[in-house]
Amino acid sequence: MRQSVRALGWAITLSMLLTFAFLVTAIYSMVQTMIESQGIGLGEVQAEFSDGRLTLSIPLNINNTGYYDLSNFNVTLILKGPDGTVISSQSSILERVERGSTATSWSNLTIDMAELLSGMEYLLFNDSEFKLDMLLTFRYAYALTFQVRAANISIPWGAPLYNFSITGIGAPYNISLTECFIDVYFGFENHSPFSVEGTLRLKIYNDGGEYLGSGSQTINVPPQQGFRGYVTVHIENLMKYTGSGYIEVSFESPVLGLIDLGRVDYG
Amino acid sequence: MAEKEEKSLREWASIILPRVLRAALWGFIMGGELLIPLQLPDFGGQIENFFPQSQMSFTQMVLIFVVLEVAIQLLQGTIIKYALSMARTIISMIALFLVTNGGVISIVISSTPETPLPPGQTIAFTVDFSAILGIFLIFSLLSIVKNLLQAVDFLSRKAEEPVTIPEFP
Repeated sequence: MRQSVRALGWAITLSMLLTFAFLVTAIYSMVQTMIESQGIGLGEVQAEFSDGRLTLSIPLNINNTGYYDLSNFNVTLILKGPDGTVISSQSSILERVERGSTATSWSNLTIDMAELLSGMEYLLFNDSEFKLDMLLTFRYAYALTFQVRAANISIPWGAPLYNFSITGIGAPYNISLTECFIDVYFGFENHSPFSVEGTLRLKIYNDGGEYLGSGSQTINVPPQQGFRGYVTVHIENLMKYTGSGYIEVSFESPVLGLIDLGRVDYG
Repeated sequence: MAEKEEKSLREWASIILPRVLRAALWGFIMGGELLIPLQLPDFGGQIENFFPQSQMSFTQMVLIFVVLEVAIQLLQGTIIKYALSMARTIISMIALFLVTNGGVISIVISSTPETPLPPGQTIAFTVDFSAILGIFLIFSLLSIVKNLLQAVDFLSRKAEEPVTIPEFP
């Protein structure tokens, strides 16, 4: 009996040592992979625009330099607006990343621009930043579960109509007894990753709030470009033109939908 | 008579001293050496930070191990040694569970000069090794069984030893 008990004791001690060694090497290897080798990291975010939807493709690069395999690699991304509201979320799964190998998991966050900007109109005119929450869950060495949650990763947002302003109003021309034309000058900078393409419409009123006429101008401004132009407004009722009043500005675009840009006083 | 008493004191010393030395040595091996770096303010604090959610500090756990190991070594050759061994295993099971928060340890990293992060950004790491902890607990249960069997063996050996009844003068 004494020999059996002693054998049991040695078996327990040996098994405990082996299990402990496995645990230590697994945690050490994982920490080395993540911190020393930077084995898990976000790549460069790519933006693509089509059919009124902005798709942010976010690569997660995994370089497994550790001693064991990574499995059930689950990436969840939650994109939040500057005010914290959830705009889009997406999950993707990588079945296995064997030791010594690399893999890239692409997560595509799709944003309906018209829907986004209808709720957050200030994003049209102001540069801001989105917040990205990233949750990584994976098993290491098929025994340990790791979870990494990175909160509030900043993604800069460039306003498509940054610093939009009516820069001036020209003198009336082609004046007849009943009508005339006025050029209204405007400018903005497109800081967004997509082209601002659409029709700018102006409606002009006198200081009594009476409708005088309207004009429109088609524009196409590439990303990261400034734009200065004018809209020719046809004053249909010259008798009511007093030289002061306000202009209602709207912009219609296949990307952004119909946006009311507000009212600007003139004169 | 005095010569006999002196001899018995020497005998006691020859029994106790090796035990104390052995207890000190094993106490040092079985955790005592860990207590030294744990008392260092920088290193000890870092180790303790790995177990932020536990109800028992790592130093306390090591201290319990050392005390029990010393007691076990001092009480070699008695049944109490086996009882203490079993008690140590049970305490270690409970302590391991508490210290590791059931095998789930979380660390939150905020921006520091060593790991600069953008303002407001935090990274939280969670390691779930509850499966490994479960294996350790099963081994600990086997260890209790082993100690129980050793205690039974010890008692049976004691029962077989001849009993010398002292004669009356």
